Amino acid sequence: MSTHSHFHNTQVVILGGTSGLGRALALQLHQAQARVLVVARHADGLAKLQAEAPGILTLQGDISDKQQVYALAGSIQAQLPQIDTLFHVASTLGPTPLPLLLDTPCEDLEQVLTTNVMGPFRLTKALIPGMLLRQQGTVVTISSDAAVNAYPHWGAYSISKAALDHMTRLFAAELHTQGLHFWAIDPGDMRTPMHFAAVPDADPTQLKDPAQAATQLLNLLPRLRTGDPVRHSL
Amino acid sequence: MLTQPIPTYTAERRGENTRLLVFQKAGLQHRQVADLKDLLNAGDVLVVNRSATLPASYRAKILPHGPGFEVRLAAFQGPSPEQPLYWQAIALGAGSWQQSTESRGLAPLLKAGDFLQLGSDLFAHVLAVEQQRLLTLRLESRDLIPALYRSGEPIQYAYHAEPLNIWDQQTLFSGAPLSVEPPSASFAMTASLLHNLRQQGVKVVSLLHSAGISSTGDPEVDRLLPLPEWFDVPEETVQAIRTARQEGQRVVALGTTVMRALESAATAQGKLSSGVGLSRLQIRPGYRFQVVNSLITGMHEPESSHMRILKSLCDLDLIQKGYREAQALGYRDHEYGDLSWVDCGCSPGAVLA
Repeated sequence: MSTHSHFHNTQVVILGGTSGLGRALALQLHQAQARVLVVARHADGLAKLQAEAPGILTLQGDISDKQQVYALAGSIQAQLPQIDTLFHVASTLGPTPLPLLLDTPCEDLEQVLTTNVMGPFRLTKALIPGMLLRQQGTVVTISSDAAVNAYPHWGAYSISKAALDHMTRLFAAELHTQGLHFWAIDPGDMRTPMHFAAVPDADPTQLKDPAQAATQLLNLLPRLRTGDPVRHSL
Repeated sequence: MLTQPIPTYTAERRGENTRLLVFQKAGLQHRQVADLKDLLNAGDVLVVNRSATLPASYRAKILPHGPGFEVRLAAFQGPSPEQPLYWQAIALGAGSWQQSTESRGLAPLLKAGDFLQLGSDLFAHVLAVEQQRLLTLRLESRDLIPALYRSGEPIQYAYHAEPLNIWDQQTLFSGAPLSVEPPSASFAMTASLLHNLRQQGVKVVSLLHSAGISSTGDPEVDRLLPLPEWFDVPEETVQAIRTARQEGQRVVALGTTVMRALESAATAQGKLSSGVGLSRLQIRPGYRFQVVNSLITGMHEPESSHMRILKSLCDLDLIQKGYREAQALGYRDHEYGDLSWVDCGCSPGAVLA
């Protein structure tokens, strides 16, 4: 039996969904009979996802590339004219091992901000028309405790996630009167390729399974109401 | 001549500061788009086009060994936004967008049955050819919509100094990509104005209409414009219009594409119904409007099909007076220019039961 009945027959877009949390969200939402479209950079990851869950729609693209924004938005909205939920999952740490902020080349910070802040900003703008016209819809950005805490070495990522949290709060403040919801969700430390890239000696037994985080997130979303805090930790 | 084109063209948008020339029975007003929140009343319905704009110009060749030419998608024919297979298109010869379409050469002689390559994974079967240039195409690709974006370039205007980017062509409402030129009356719309209009009690609803090509450079083909264009009017929009009509409120079309879709949806069966269709309507002076009372549109050239629409919505003397004043005040015309609102109290005729 599908547990996330709230998402039954809804249209969901997941930007970054071939590994970790994004992939787990895609599979569970597909299981819940949502119409799911996943965007990712690598065709092989998308092919694997489709092999596992035929019926998931996939689209290859790079959300950090300004030139691709409207091609992605047009291709997505031709297939899903009424997006109910948009998940911004794709993000980058920048080069690893993670350097101190003072050792971070300016270009690396810029690249991390482009992927983790400008990407979600541009794609939110490009994918919001249907939500704005219907006056309903939910946008979820994925946060991190590094958005709140200044952990040494997490500089570029940390800065980008703090900015993304605040962008989410601003959209929420400006668009709640239009019936739109924006939530920034910190899933906690998960057993994902990204976490091991950041912390190579992390103890896997101390890390959350991304499937568990996805379940928690999908249980939380239907309970959130306008006026609740925008940022939540799972 | 009503007006002369003013040669100051960029894709810069002025949003709510865009000028708005208001034509009403009471007379003319020179306002700004931001003032729509005061000019529209609670209960009025503003209908917008939520079509996005494709990069619709392609480098083509006839397979296997034909010479190169340009194909411009001209109007979407169906069957659906998910499967944008059938198009009318224009074949253009050598040259670039910096030349006016009129001065471009002829494309190679095309015939039904030709197979064209438009991109690395984008092909077209030629189903019919009219006037040498006007093609009916069925597109073919493993992944059609991404292929259209990968291989296409935005349709450009010779009166622009810089080529347009794809983002220059999108609006606040851009959804499924079916238009080949932007539904440009929406360029002035901002989230802030949308908030203000809704706060005022104006109902903002949408439809999909595939805005087609505005000019081909060939007088024989231009005579056929606007070509039949695919549209889809949702039931919620029909309901909102019905309510406005019952309450004696206005139905305002944001752009001529919206007007064409609504009028076509009505004339099909003598009453306004929701659903998909092809707009074949040619609006000329004397046309009796079925659905729309009022139109927000750009500042147009004197002999355009748009100008014929204005003349059918409002007294010719007032239109001429307005355009003379606009010219003196330096209004900007064309796609990225200023707007006019023709609101002369036209009372539509369709049965909205």
